[in-house]
Amino acid sequence: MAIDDLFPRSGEWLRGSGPESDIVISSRIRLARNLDEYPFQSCLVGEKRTELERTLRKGIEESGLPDSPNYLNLAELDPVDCMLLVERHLVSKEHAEIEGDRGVAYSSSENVSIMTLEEDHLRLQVMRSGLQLDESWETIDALDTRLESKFAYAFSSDFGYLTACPTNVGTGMRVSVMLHLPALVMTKHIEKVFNAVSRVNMAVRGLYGEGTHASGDFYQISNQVTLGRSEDETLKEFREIIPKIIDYERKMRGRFLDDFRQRLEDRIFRAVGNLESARTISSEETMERLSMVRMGVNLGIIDDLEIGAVNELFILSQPAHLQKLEGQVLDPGERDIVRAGFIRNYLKSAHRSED
Amino acid sequence: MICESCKQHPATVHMTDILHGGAKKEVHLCEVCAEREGVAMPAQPPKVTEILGGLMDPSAGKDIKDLLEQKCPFCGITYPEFRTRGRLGCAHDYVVFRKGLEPLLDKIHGKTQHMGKIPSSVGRDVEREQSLRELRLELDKSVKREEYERAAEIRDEIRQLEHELGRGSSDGD
Repeated sequence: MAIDDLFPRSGEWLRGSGPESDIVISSRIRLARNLDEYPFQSCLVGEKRTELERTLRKGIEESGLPDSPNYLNLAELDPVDCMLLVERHLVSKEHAEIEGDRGVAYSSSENVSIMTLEEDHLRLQVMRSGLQLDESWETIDALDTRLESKFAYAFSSDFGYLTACPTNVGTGMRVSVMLHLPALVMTKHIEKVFNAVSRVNMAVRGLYGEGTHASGDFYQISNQVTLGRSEDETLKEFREIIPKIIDYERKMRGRFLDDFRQRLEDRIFRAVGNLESARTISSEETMERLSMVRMGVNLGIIDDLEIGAVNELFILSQPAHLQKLEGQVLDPGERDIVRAGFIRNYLKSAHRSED
Repeated sequence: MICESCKQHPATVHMTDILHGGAKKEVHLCEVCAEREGVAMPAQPPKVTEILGGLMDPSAGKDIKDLLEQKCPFCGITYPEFRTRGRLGCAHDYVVFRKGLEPLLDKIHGKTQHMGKIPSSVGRDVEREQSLRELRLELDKSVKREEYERAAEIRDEIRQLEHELGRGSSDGD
């Protein structure tokens, strides 16, 4: 089955190769689009729903996603496979949880994906490593324009692209930049970032989007306003605010290094020791320790691990990935044991490949 | 500094209101009052249902009463159903529930007029209309910044577009 091709590697956007990737994990843009002639997703059932899912799939396949794309109907997948797609950020949690025909098309690099029959008929998504908003916009804009020749989008000259939820109407665009901000968290300066960000109508969310808790010092900054502000204007705001947050985090890391080097090194190496020796570990603790390790690699305190490997561990140690690895459904207690074993082995081979 | 509204808590939200006509007024509020006045974003983005609940305030008035009886002939959802679920049933709802949606959109986005990408199938005129709206805003900005040369350029562009749309220059000097 095609979903197994995803495993056990990780998506290109996790490589940690893009600009500012010591702090910016990824840049993501998504566009919400609906077809004029069908009701929105939540009002679509039965034959009509199946018909639209097929139409969307056909249009997507004809419009040409880059590098050997794949399409999966989520209604045909078991829950672990659906969760695997969520953990890889290819589909949203909501998309995995709703019922009926719905699907996802994605490029093999996992940089581009299109959800069908999520809250909206189409949710286009482009993800890239590091801070690459302009490149992401170019890709998604071109993809949207190609799809537009296949479908008649619901659009009004007043309200723009019409969406199921009024919070997305207008451009239908949500830009999210995922940041790793451990020093701002440790120095409690993160609150200031939250305040500044909310003042310019941006929102701070956890790793998996809306309603999720920020863990492992990861935060997603995304725009709130989609109506009355063009794509360019929104991107411009990100170009202004994100570098400021990056500088702030770097400054705090520098200050920490100058004033408390030993304490910082202690925390980082204890985190490494923990991950290398734990026999059972929860996902929360994994996130916390990995966050320290990640900062250690970026500050050159840890020199025998690559950032891409650390990024990858964040995803591969998630519940569905572990269950896929074991080939069976595991309860949380069993998962913690498997997780600890997986991380130990992963770190061993990651170290070795450096030699 | 003490909050101007409750006169109890320290003022932590400071802003400058631009009044009609361009006069400025400084406002200093505590977080609680700022949030109540709707000038500060709460730490977490408000839920759609919360915003929708706000629609029931008396300022929305009698239109809301009419709205409550509205039902979309296409998808069959009623306005109260939309309010409970926070999701619309189809694209026509934007027309059917327009009276209720406009204040809501204004509350969420601070604007009610789309700016940005337009599907090419929708046609050049919509694009021109959009450029016009953008130019008018830009004109306003440059006049405020006293960049009169730029303003004159923009005004010419606006005239050109209006001409292309088959309209005389109704506004302007």
